[in-house]
Amino acid sequence: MSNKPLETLSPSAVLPVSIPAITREKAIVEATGPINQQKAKGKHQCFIDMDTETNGGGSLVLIKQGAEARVFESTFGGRKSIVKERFSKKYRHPTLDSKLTLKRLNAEARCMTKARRLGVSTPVLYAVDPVSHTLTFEYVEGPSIKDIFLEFGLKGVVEEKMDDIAFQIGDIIGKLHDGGVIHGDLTTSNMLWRSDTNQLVLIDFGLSFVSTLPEDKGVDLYVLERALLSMHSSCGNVMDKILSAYRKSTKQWSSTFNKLGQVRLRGRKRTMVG
Amino acid sequence: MLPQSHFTIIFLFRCSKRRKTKETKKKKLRKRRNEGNFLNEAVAKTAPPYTFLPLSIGDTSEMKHYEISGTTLSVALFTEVANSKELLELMQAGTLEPEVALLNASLIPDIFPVLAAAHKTLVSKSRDSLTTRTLHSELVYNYSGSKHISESLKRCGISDSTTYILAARFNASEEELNAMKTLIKGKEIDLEELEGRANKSQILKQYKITGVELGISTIGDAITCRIASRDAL
Repeated sequence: MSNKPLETLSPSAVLPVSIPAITREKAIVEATGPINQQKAKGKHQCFIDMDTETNGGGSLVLIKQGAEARVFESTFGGRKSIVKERFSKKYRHPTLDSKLTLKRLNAEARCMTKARRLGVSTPVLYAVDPVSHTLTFEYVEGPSIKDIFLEFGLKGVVEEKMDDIAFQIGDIIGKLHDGGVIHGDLTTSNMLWRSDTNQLVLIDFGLSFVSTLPEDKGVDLYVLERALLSMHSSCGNVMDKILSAYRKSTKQWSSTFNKLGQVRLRGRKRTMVG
Repeated sequence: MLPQSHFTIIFLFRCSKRRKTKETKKKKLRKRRNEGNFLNEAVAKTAPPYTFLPLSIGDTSEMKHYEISGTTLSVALFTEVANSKELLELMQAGTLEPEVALLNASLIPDIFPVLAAAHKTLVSKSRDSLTTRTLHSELVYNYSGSKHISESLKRCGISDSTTYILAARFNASEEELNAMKTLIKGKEIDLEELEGRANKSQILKQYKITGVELGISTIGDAITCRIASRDAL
């Protein structure tokens, strides 16, 4: 039903009151028949005003499009915000698709708030919408760590800033892992540098999950190591600084470090089957 | 005899299969084209509203108006309210006129979480999926950040002895606002005072906010996160 194109709406299906923007829900309700139309009309009558402006004045500006989601810039409550929409994949079976999309949406919201509870700075979550598969969160002003490191690679490393950043990276990963949250996609482009407070902000919890296994923590660190090696080899050995900060912040250093050694030898995947 | 029939069956099967694949290909193409259109439109039209502009409706009092997706939310803060018992009884009987949301203001350090709760309320209203009986009780329930309805109405709503109240109403007309002000017998104060008057320890307990979290976030942001992520937990 959700695949029903808007074009199939006959003009008579539209409410007599002129409504410039019809929401998807409403369009579907109306398209399903005259009986439902009556019902919908009754229910929406007192809030007709609300429906007229549901596109938010076109204030959504596309920033990035990835394989799983689109990211828009917008405003929420007078604050600048980011809207992340997980779109559905048409090649998947609809039932499976909606289940996966919802599961990942909820997991992302859950892990982000859990990380905050552990004292890891993440963007403030403003709204979760399971129907349109969107998350709305705070807009963090500042460059990504990737951009900072790339600049270091070009213009030379600012040692002080580098130490600060590496320390914060290790510290927050330690906090996350001790709280049982695995980020799943630790790369420098998923870390932002809040310019006014010089604080590291971790973003994109789309692949994160809850686990206390040293294996998962080791893989998490290994992913970061590979990402640093491939992107920022000109910045010197950042990983050592990160690991020493991680060591100070975590309580399960030895088991995780042993696993990291094993993972380094064999790669990210545990078994080579399938 | 046997092999022949087999052949015909196989032949027929193949034919039908081929026709099917052709059909589905066409259908798929058409579908994809439509979907493409639909997706673009969906983004433009179903994207939830993200404007809350403070409006001025020619009102002289301390009351503030916010616009959330074309609906206005009028908010007023009262202290030294004398008739909270009466208000509570009216509300429980469902005869409060005009219907307003009455929140325990000592749990509100900032107006922003209220706007987030209001946004959530309006979205579920537009989908006819309110959890509580009325739009305004839904606002109180959403502000609590918990799934326990009666408990959250008790904690974030008002009680017999509440004297410090935040009143809010969606799409209020001028008369309704005046009626609201006469209904609540208290002193109206500016919303700026929310932060100073909030009961911090009570908030920390209600929303289970730890000191670790406060190290990286303001108390209002922590509440907003809980309101937004409630249904995802």
